[in-house]
Amino acid sequence: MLDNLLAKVLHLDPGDVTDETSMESVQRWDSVRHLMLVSELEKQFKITLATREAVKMRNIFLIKKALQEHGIEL
Amino acid sequence: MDQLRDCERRINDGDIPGAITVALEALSSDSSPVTYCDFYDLLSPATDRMEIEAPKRLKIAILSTYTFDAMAGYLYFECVRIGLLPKFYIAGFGQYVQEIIGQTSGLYQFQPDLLIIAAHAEAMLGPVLESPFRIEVPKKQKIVEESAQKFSDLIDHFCRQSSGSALVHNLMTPAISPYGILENKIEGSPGDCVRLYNKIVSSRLSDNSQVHILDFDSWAGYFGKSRVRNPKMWYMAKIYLADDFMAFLARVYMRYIKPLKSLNKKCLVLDLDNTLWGGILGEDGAHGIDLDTGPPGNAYRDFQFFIKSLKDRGLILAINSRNNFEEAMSVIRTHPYMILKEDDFSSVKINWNDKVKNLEQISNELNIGLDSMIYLDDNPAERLLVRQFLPEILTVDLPHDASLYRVTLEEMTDWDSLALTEEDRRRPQLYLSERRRDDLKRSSGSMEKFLASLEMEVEIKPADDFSLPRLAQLTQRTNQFNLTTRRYNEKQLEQMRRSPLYRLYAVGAKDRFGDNGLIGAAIVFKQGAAWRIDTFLLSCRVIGRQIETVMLAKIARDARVGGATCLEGEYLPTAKNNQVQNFYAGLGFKQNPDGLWIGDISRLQTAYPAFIGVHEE
Repeated sequence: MLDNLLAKVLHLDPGDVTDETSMESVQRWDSVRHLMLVSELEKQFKITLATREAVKMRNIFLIKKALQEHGIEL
Repeated sequence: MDQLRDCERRINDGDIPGAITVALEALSSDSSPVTYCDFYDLLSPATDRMEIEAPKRLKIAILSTYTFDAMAGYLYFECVRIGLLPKFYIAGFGQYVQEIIGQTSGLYQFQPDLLIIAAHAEAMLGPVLESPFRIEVPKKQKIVEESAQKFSDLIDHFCRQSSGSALVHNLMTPAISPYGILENKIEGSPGDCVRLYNKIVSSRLSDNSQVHILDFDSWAGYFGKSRVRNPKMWYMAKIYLADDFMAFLARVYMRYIKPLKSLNKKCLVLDLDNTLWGGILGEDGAHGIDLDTGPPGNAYRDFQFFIKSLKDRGLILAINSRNNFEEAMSVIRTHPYMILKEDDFSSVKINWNDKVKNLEQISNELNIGLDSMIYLDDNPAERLLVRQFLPEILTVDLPHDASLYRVTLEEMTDWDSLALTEEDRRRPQLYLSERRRDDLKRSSGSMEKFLASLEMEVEIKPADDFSLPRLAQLTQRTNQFNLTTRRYNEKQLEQMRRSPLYRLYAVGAKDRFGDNGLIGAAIVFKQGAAWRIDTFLLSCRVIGRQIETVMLAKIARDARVGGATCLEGEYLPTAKNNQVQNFYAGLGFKQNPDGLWIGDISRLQTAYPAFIGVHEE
């Protein structure tokens, strides 16, 4: 589910995604896309991310960590 | 993802229509903000580069007090869906003052046809909403008044600098304020302040035909104020409106854009069984159909009330139904709960013919293009047939439950107009008279006898304050009998009227069947010895009655008095005006090498036809 979401929002191929993939390394992942990513994560996983969490999720590792903290198994 | 690639490939191949089709299909199955954004980013640069013909062109500027960039994607595809190819200019949030004041700002360089100004209450009324208990009521009112006046001045400034239209959001009243349940009990509450602001802005701008106030507060209420905003996006990025609401708001904008581009509909064609009443007349009988003040007939009755109001504001109604004519007419004439009456319909096709053929006949009879018609039918098979054979008609999917009929029609964005003129309100009556004229035509035998029996009276006089809005509307809407198809707004006409170089004619006509109202316009540019006919047009409902002969004779007379020796006429061909291509030739004008038609005044016919009574000023 996360793979699909990253493909849709950031146009990332699942094979290219690592924990280190980040806002700095992906050109399309700008602040506007980041907001879309937050909205899509909330919608897909039926969770509410706190703004404090949302601003910190700047790479894949941190996204996974945030999802796990919301009880989502990846 | 695949569709995005497909779209991109088609753009690279130069197949823009194909790319658009792919994008619209993708969006119909996935309407998420990401998808809108992706396809907008892909398609808009391609369509921005295209040469676009005038009817499809639309330049939209958006100024706002919050981040509103995503609106472009939603609005772009709403426009594309009806054949427009818009271009956008979006200034960064909070830049609206500089953009409007600056003579050479990006806004004016862009030359917008439409400027959308979206402000939010907190930006305009700051302290009044932030610390409402800490400011005295008179002070609050002063802040509100000053802010509203300043904002109105700004809009006026834009109108002086640009000929584009302005669509201005009013402010949303808070659903919940610190005043709580006392909000509407204590003077100077946040809601009070916002309402006062809205009232001042409305009254300051209501006389300006260039400005349209979008009742944002009301639309937000309709959508649900608790869902209008997305607080997280506000705090993270100053995005004030939730994605779903932006998509909804884009559809509200279409209520303005369609009439602006003359794409609003003129005629509503209705089925009878299970549409205007429940059940099937042929099976259930006149006493068995559902049309009542209680359920289930009350939904149909309420639906009819709304349709009747649309007719009262100028939409033409017609019936297309498979039924026995006498049986159905008897219901329309005598059923106690029938709200729509016989005279509400300008054309009636109740027979066992093919519904497609009936629609074509209605279009011919009323002289209304298929692309100006809406068709309502409960039967999916009939709808499919009409869609297949007459795709120009907007065929509406009525919901299965008649309780939702009325709201379906309410939510359509195709019946609005930017102003309601007296002409609009009288239009259905005019078309009904037209039907009776047709009957007379058939019984009179010759054309001359028919025209004489009409007892026509034509009034031709200079444009004034009363006729100007209608003249603007005529230049914007008239396609067939229109020599140059130059579209003018009220402001432009007003400038011409004030100039001694122009003469604007407003032409009205009536006959024994009724008053047609203002149906013709001409604009003449007086350049010395040659008077140039800039605009010459006639509403399609009075074509073929020699009114054009009266108009040209009048212009020739005035030109002679004004010392001119010739008239210059232009014919600018469009897809719809070929019926007038020989207009000037037929009146004895000669075409010069530049394509201009020259009429020697000493040789032009200046007598009015004997069967028309002419009143001139």
